[in-house]
Amino acid sequence: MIKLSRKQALSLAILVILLLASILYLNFTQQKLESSLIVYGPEGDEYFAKALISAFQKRFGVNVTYVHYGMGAVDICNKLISEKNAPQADVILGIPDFYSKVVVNSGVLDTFIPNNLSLIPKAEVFDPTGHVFPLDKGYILITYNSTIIKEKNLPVPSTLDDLLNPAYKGLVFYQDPTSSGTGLAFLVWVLSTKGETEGFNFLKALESNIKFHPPGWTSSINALKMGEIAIGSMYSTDVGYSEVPNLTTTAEVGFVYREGIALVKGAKHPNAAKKFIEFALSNEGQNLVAPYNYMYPVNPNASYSDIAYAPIPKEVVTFNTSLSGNVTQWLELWRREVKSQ
Amino acid sequence: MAKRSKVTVESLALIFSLVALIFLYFYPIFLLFFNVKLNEVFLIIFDPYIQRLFLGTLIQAILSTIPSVLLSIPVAFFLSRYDFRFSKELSYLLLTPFFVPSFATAEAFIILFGNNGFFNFIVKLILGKSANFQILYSMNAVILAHIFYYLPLSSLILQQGFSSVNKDLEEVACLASANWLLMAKTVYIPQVLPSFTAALALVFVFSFISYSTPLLLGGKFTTVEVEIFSTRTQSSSLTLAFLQALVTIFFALILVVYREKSYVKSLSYRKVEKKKISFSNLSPFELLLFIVFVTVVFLELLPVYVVIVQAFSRVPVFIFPTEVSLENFLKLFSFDFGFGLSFIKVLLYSLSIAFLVSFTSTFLSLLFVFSYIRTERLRRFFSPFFFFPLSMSQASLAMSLMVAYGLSSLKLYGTWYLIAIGQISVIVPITVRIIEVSWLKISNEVYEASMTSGASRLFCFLSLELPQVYPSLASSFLLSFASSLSEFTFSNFFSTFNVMTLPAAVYELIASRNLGLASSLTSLIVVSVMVAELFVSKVLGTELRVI
Repeated sequence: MIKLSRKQALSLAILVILLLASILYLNFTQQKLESSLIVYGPEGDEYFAKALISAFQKRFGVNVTYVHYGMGAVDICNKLISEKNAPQADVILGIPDFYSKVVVNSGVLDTFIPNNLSLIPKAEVFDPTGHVFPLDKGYILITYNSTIIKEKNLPVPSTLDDLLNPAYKGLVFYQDPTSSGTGLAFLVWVLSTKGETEGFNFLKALESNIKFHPPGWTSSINALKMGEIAIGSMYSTDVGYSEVPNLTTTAEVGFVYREGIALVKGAKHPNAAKKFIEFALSNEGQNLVAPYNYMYPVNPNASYSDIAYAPIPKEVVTFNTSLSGNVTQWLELWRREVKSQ
Repeated sequence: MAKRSKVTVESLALIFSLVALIFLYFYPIFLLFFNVKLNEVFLIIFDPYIQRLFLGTLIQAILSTIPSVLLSIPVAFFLSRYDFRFSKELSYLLLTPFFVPSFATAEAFIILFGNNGFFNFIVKLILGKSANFQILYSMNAVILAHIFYYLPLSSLILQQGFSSVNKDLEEVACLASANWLLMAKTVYIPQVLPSFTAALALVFVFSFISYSTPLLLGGKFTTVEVEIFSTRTQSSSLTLAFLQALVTIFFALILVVYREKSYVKSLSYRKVEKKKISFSNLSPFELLLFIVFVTVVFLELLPVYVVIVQAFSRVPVFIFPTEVSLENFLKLFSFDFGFGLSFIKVLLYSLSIAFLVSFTSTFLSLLFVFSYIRTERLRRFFSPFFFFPLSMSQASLAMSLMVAYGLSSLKLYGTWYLIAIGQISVIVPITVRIIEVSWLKISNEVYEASMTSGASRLFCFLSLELPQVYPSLASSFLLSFASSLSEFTFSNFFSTFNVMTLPAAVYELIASRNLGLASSLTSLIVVSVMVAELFVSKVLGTELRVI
């Protein structure tokens, strides 16, 4: 027979009580997700997706789960494609316009005509096949820290070619396109403007001015805040962001990044999925775009007062549809020949 | 009768252990690597780009490992031999860097080593205004960060080695007036070598598979793990992850085999007594040792200090807080993390999950060790096995658990179970080591004597072995608790709207551009870890053991 001292017995009792309390707390307070609807999307859109789903649940009482697998926009699209024979998702959001052709051609999306598509101007529709519906858009610009530019008495950068100025050596950045949506948008901007061959030559030449490629938005902001980098690509909504008070832009030219939403072929809950897409395009859903995704809604009835401060570029570059659109190959080429040169 | 009972209890434990191992590792990893094709492995092996990546990663891991382990020698020696007020607390606090989230460390490094940082301020003071110390965004920055992360871990392992140096041999060498070089050659090196190789193995493997640090601080320098993450939806990523696991296991196994061969020699049952330090009567050697120790502790805790202080400042700190404010902390309480999740709820979820993970990891580790410790052949198989999950890419492991249990028929995605399973899978290999080492210290003669006198295996475990491994169980519990609270990969991978842990909440705050609030929450995680360390240093009354 094992005898426990009073102290040991007390410790054991506390341990058991805490264990039971933890299990009970987690099981009774955690809301049940019945996964009636699964929405795939990039990690970067999680904050917006959450707001959208919350509003949708309140209105329709349908349970929705947002799954991002820690992935960016292209990766989550590839994940959907890899599940073609056994689809897990009902809806996918955040499909970049420059990757929509790849996703549509892979045959993982279904067509239907949402009633609320009539609320969206035709100019915003980027997928002519009717699989991917426009959701939101934002502008990537050349931004700079005006204090550092003034201190070093440097010319103000406005265009892509300006970034090659040797005077900017060690001050330039653009995000790593393999981990950042903004970085990928910059890569597509360069390729859309210059074509694939010239575009990659430009990126290779630009490397001599690059300080580093931040893996995401936060590391870009932190490095800008600390004066480690001064010139690079950011969203127009980052200009005037309180953490980097001197970040500005001439807004001469910018690239429009457009995201879409689509119904997955073989979705287990097609009716709820269609309802969700309708809701995302509605005035109510679109009103959540600006405050939660820092992007512009595509529905003109929706408000974007939260980001009204952001400059809109005078010249807007859109995705050059004559490009092959093989983003996976571009990223491979970028990793092998640009970053590691 | 006793023999029969032994077989039954240990066999049951072994069966349960195997089921747990299959559930935690074999089945999910099998699903993940099922599609790896041999021809793809060969294609990758002969790809010059991949070869360059492996070489760069290998060089980085070696350059991270050597200084981490070498610098930890004086710290470990000092902590194993000398005692002074708060020395125990300090030795526990030294572990804190191991639990600081990598994004917070990256910010602290920019503050300290950036163009306008603290070190450049000193450099400019000494060498003039044009001087600039450029280390960030390079392989050197990765190495520096790895030293920061892994020196405390290495110190902990070596401290254990120095503590178990045979006291009799040491005294004989002293009586023979051996100088410090001879002492090192004949007494310390042969006996500390197993711990030294164990430290080398762990630090090497951790540096080899490190992901966030090269990504955040490496600049154009990249590693195999970053490549795996960058290509994670392509089949080449799985092949590369498979290859990386093989390479790290190969290196780890060489060191483990060496450790196994030499381990028995290093065991000593006569504990070295610590000397109470008297600052008025320090020898030059002791003074030097003390200065090195204090410098290392200062440098280790400086980035931790910066992470905490940043949370109280409205503007980026230089070294002291500027415009001190509690605003960010107060705002946390009113922040809506969505779906009815308040800060308090996230905190309670985190604490509950951490408690369950700590309890389960400790219990499972106890069971694993119990099932193999008294059978040499089983021990030789299981002990090195636990290096495997440690050497695997965490992103790959998370993906495999998601495939196996998240969206499969079990449908655990969206529940706290999946977060807990993920955390347990990475914590168990470490807690197994802690308990195993403690168990090996139990005298075999005493165990054999009790068994031959008719005690059942269960009785022997409960009355003889369990009381002796109590401190290691408490250590395991603490390490698991701190690891779970600060664990980011699985939390971020598996957190959904209805369940969230503190590190995932930090990410949520960053995504919503509330960097000030993210900073305050990060500092709360770090402070919680430090409080847990101090609490256990008071309760435990013994050194923490990792390997």
